[in-house]
Amino acid sequence: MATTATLTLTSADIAGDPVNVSKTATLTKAGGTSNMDQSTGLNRVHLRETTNVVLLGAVAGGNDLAGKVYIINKATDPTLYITVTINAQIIGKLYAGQWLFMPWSQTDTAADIEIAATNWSSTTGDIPVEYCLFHEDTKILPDA
Amino acid sequence: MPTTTATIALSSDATDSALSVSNTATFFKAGSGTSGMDTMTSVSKVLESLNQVDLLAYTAAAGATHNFLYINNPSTDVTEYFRIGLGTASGSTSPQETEEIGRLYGGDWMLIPYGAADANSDVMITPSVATAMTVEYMLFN
Repeated sequence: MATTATLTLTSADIAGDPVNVSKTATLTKAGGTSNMDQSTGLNRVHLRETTNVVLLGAVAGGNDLAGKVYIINKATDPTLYITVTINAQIIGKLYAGQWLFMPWSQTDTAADIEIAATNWSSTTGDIPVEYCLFHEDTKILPDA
Repeated sequence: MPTTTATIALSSDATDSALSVSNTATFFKAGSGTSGMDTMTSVSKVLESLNQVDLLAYTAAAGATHNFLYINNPSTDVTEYFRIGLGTASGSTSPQETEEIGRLYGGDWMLIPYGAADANSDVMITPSVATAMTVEYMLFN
């Protein structure tokens, strides 16, 4: 049983020489080689909230355990973005087609991952967001 | 305008039906579907203490733009990790973390949009051991 995440980062022209980064991480439990064995599976929501809503709720048992979060903004309008925060601290904005992949510590129960369709309006249409969590915490029921 | 793309391929058999996800993001400037990010910083650092340090300091200029940040822990020791957080440096020797995002163990990488939203948005990093851990990062904007 294994979960892998491979990044291919390329640019032919952002610098004088091409940029090519390829990196594969095997998702394991914290500090060991045992494979991460729990997942929410891939989820899809249609976001129209301009204020933060909880995407993944932190639990106390998750602290010191490994977790990896994948979020993608599936909108096609390049002006539409979602704002991703952790414990109300802004991480950044994902515009249409952009994604993030990051570890998630759940250092305390306030470390929720929240998203907002910050510039949504009734004329823009919903912003489809897909996300997935891989983790090792047996106490978490990560459906927010 | 430059074109920079980031493709993720996620593969998992943690669930009974295997998961396979592949998506490519193009690093456009904020709100543009045509204007690519055109600035890149690429750094490799060796950290030799347990001190929390400022990996990226907030700047108003960064906050006014759209950024992507890649961080890699190239260690082959899976017990070694970096704590990655957002916070502010309250002094030269005692930076304060506001919020930990997560831990990057040996072999792990992360890619996030970096909002640099305010003065509490420095990217902070803390090694788990003091024996010369290397961190690599790239910032696009």
